Amino acid sequence: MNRNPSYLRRGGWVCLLLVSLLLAGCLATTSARNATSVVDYLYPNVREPVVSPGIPVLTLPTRVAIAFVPGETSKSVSGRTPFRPSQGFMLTETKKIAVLQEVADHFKKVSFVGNIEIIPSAYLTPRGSFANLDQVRTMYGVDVIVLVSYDQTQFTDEGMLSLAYWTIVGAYVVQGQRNDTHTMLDAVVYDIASRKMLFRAPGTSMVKGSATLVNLSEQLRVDSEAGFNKATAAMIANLDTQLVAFQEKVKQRPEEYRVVQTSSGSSRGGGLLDLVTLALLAVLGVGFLWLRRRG
Amino acid sequence: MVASARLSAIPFPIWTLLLCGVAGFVFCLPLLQTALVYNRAAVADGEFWRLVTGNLVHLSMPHFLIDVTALLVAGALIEMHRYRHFAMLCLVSGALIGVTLYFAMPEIVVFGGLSGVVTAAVAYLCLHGTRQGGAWKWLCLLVLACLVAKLGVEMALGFSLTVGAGTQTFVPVPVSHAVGAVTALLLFVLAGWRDSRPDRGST
Repeated sequence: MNRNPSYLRRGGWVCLLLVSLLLAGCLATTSARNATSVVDYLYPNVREPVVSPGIPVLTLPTRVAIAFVPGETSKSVSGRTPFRPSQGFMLTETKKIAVLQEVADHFKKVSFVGNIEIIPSAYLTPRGSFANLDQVRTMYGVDVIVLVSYDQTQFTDEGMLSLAYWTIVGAYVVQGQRNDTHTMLDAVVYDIASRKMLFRAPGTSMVKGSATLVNLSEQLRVDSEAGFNKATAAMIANLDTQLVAFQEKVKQRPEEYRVVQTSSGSSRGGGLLDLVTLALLAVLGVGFLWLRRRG
Repeated sequence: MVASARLSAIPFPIWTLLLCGVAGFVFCLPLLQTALVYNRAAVADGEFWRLVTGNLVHLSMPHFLIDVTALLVAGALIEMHRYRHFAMLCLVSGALIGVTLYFAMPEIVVFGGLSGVVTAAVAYLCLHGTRQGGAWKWLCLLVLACLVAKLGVEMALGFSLTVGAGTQTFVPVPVSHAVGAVTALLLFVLAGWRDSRPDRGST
C-alpha cells in the first residue's frame, strides 16, 4: 500500500508534457516554397549583373520565343508536424507547356509579333545565362524571349480540429488542414542580341483551401494548379498593360529602341516529307518485298 | 538453308543506319541541335558546317519520325540493291540543300530536316532501278514519273501536302526536295559516265 508519492508526481508531469507536445505538434504550421529566378539564370555566380545592355534593334514583325526559366527550383520546407509532410507542387512539364501556350496565344494577337515559339525545358540549361539564350536564338531564329519564372509558397495550418486525427477515423473525415497557396508568375521580356530587358509583367494569386489529413497532398496539388491558373490569368492581363506601355515607350524614346520593318515574319523552315513521297516510298518497299518473295 | 543463304547475301545497310543513328542522337541532345542547325546568321559568321549538318536536325518529334523512317526505307533499299555512292549522295545533297537555301531563300533563317536527302535517295533508287530489268524497272519508272510530277506541282504552287499540316511550328520547304532530286540525277549521270569510260572498263 505504501507507494512513492514523488514517483506519481513525476509520472503526472511527464504525461502532461507529452500531451502538451502532442497538442503543439497538432497545431503546427508547415510551409513549402518552390521558386525559380531569372536573375540566377541570367547572371549566375556574380553578385552584381555585369552585362551592359546595348540598344535593341526590334525587327518587325518580331520573332518571339517563350520559355520557363529552367531548373534548379529552390525548394524549402519549414515547420514540423507529427503527420506526414505536405507535397503539393503541381508545375509539371505538361502544365508548363499549357501555361506557355496560353501566353503565346495571347501574344499572337499582338500586331507586331510575327511568329512565337514555345521552347521546351530541355533547350534551356540552369544558370545558362545569355550564352544559352544565344543558343535558343540560333536554334529557333528568334529575336526576343519571354522568360517566365514562378514563386509558389504553400502554408498548411493544423487547427484544433486536427486533434480528431488521433481517433484514426477523424483523419479521413475531419477537414483539419487549412491551406494557403500564394503564387507569383513573372514574365520578363528580353531582346537577346542587345541583352536588354524590354519590360516585365507579374501575375499573383492566393488560393485558400482545407483538407482532411488523408487527402492533404491531393488538395495541395489542386490548390497549386488553381494558383498557377489564377496567376497566369493575372499575368496575361498585366502583359496587355505592359505591352501598351512599351509601345508608347518605343515611340517616345527612339534613341533607346531602334525599329526595323521587314516584309516577312515567318523564318523557320523544315524539310518535312509530304504524303505523296511517303506513299511512293511505301509502294517501292512493298514492291521490293513482293518481287523478292516471288524470287 | 536457302533462306538463310539469301539473307546472308543481302548487304547490311550500314550508311543508312549510321545516318539515322546520328539523326536520332542529335534529336536527343537539344544543345547539339543548336550547334548543328542551319542558321543563316551563323553561316554568314563562318559556321559553314551548318549548311550540311542542318539536315540532321529535326524540329519536332513527328518531323523526326517521318523523315528518319522514310530514310530507313529508302536507304536500306539502295544499299540492299548495292547501288553505289549512297554516302556521297547524302553528303552532296545535304550540302547543296544548305547552299541553295542560303543563296536562294534569304527569308529562311532556320532550317532543319532530312526530307531533301530522303527525296534524293528515292530518286536515286528509282534512277538505278530503271537500269534493271523486269517488274522492278517498271515500278521504279512509275514512281519516278510520279515523283517528278509531284515536284513540279510543289515548285509551281509552293505547297506541300505534308503530314499534320498546320500543326507544325515551321513552314515546309519544297525547294529542298527539288534540290535533292536534282542532286540524285546529277550523281547518277556522273557515276554512269565515269563507269562507262573505256579506261575504267579495261581496269
